[in-house]
Amino acid sequence: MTVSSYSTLGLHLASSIALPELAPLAPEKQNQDADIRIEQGSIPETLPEASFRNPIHQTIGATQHLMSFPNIARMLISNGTHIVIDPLTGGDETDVLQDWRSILLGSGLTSLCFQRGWLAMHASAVLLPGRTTATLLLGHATAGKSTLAAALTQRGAHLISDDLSPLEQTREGFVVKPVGRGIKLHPTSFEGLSLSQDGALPVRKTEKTKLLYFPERSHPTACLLGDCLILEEARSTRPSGEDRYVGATAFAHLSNNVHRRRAASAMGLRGQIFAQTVALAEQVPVTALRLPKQFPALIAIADRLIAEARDP
Amino acid sequence: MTLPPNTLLRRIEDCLSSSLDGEVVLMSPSNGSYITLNETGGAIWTLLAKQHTVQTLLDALCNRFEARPETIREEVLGFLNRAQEEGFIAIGAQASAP
Repeated sequence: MTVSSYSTLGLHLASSIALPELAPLAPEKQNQDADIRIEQGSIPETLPEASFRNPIHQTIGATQHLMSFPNIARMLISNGTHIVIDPLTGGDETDVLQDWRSILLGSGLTSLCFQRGWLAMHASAVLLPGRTTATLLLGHATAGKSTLAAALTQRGAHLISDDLSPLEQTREGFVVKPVGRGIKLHPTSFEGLSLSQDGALPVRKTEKTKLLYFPERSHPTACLLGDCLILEEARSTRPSGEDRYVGATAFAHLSNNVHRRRAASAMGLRGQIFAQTVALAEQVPVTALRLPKQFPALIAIADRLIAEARDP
Repeated sequence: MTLPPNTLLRRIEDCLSSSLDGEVVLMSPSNGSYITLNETGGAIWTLLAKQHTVQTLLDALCNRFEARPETIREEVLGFLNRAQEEGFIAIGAQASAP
């Protein structure tokens, strides 16, 4: 069995399933023990000692998490270190593998982050030029987080993570973990940003989004978080501009951007997520950026963020 | 919603709460939903750290806020109703007379 080594979350991942979406591990680290292992194997339909059970999630506390994806796969995530995936159907092998990988690198890594005690945010993270701390880009599913991250990366920023941005709470503050995966972009974003789709990988067989890589502009190590920007669509009642969110308002917006909250709840982590989100709202400036949902406006914001970039 | 004055009130023990810049945020232990409390709600929540009856709660709030007692009563009963529905407080039996 061939095992490949990758770099994700700032850790060494060894996988018996090829994961071309992830950055390969640096050669000098190949001899070190893996921190995370992924393999294909058989998984029972039920966890007999589950403390929580519904059709999708079965958990034993935060240490064992079995997820069922009908007609695709079951996946067991254990102790923040181990993922086993069990395919459920045949079909076109390429498509099925693609869907497995999407599940592994989406739900699987998110659950693994929760098991390691990290706060998994649905966000993109970038390091702007001239900054030593990361900026987290948040917003609802089609707010333009990834598109703005791509526009910033085109303009000299480094990409730390996209879609899943894990945060570790440390004495120094919240630290963003690099996921080592490209940016998920819709075809309209490729067009709007004049980006080539050459070399971009499809995310899933049912989605049009593709993963775009900026190898020279990926930030391979963890980075202290400096600020959070929440993208909101400007409307006639709330025109373009920005607002600083504080207190409970900041908490509410951050809480809405926690990745896969149902999974975290199933793992019994509501208290941990609540406390971490409160701490994030207290420690990190949160600013809402309202802009029209048009590429010129988004590009203008990217230009402005690059021009004004400095540590807060 | 009407409640006898000697009805006992208490917080649900495993409910999550935190104060942020003077505002109180509560998260429901049962479904993970959260609410943000206004000044009156925050004051009620703080008072309910100790057991109160409806009457002792209203007395404490009337001493603190310069609003008409009827207004305070209406707001308090509205809060208690919602907080019970969301799983943040328990409205219990009536306290026996001292």
